[in-house]
Amino acid sequence: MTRIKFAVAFLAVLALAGCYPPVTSSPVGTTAGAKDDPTLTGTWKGTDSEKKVTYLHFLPRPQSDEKMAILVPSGGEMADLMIVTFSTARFGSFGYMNVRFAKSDGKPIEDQPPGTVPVLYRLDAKGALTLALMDEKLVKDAVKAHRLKGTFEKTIGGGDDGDVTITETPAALDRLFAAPSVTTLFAKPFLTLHRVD
Amino acid sequence: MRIAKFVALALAALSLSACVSLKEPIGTSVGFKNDPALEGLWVSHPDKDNAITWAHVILNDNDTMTVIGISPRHDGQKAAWGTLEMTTVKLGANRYLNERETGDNGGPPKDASFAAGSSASAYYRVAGDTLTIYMLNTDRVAKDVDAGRIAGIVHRDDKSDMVQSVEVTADGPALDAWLAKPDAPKLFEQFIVLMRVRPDL
Repeated sequence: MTRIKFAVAFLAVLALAGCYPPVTSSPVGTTAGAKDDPTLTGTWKGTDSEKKVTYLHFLPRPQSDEKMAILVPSGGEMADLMIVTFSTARFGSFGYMNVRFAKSDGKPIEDQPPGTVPVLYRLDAKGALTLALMDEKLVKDAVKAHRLKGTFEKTIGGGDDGDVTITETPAALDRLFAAPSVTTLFAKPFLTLHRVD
Repeated sequence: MRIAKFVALALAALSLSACVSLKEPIGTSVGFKNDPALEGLWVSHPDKDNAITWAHVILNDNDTMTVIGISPRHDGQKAAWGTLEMTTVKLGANRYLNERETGDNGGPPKDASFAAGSSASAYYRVAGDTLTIYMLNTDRVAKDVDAGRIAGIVHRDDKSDMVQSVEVTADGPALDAWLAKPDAPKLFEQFIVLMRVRPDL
């Protein structure tokens, strides 16, 4: 039987690519009264930059404020399947998912850096949901210039500098991420999704 | 009767009506071959009792398929998801599938019979973007067993003599020969209809 490799395969790809998305040492939104965002729950279809179709199923997790997202590529292989868990923090027209890569049972996989990956999401008036990761170079430059508190550590990859972690206090982190200006530290959306349910 | 705990996937519900049990999966004598017509995303129509169910069918290299089934939260029911291993075979002009639950909400199958590796089988048709799955009809199979057309044991109610379940005890070659006949689909009854979700739409 072909075994499901879940997010382990994704992490392996990141390691090979020598990069891992910037993480925050604590989730965004903990002091800002982060709540579950019910608008995300359901099934979405996305197209990535290579025009490859991916389906995302956002499911609530039992006994948890977190959600689970199951990403299934259209016409892909089991190794392409990815599972993440996340909490959400909504700030007006945009919000963040605090993402951890997970095994099939929702427990975090071991070989990932500590902290959570902030994913910027926006829902436009037509119902399109876009997802974007922080731009690694911009974040590293901001940390080096002391505009952001952060550390560098060799974990998954990260090039010569290592992977970057934003280590602002939870309150400072929330103030920072609540400001629309922080979105300039994010790369272009890697996925645009439309609801299909 | 085996009752699947894996409510996430409509296909797993095949076992709900498994009043006909087979000794072996269908197609072992000729070998399984993935049917590419099944690849992709399928969706069931929700009704008042059941949530919509999404079923991703992924073709593996070893002529097995993995089915990922997902049911969102619905009317007080928890969201659920799970996985199946599925094989397909063509016998004559008839297409069959065998499915075995491999995961329930990220954990192992909760049903003991699935955990032990037993499977459920069905006849199916793909017409355009519609997948229709048919289950063996207990009474029709019982007639074939009684008539000696296939080896098996018919279990009847002691008082009413009504057929309760049928064990088809034929081995793989005999089972496959029986189901390769042109009229074999008449042994089945419609179970579920799934619609393809086309990625280009």
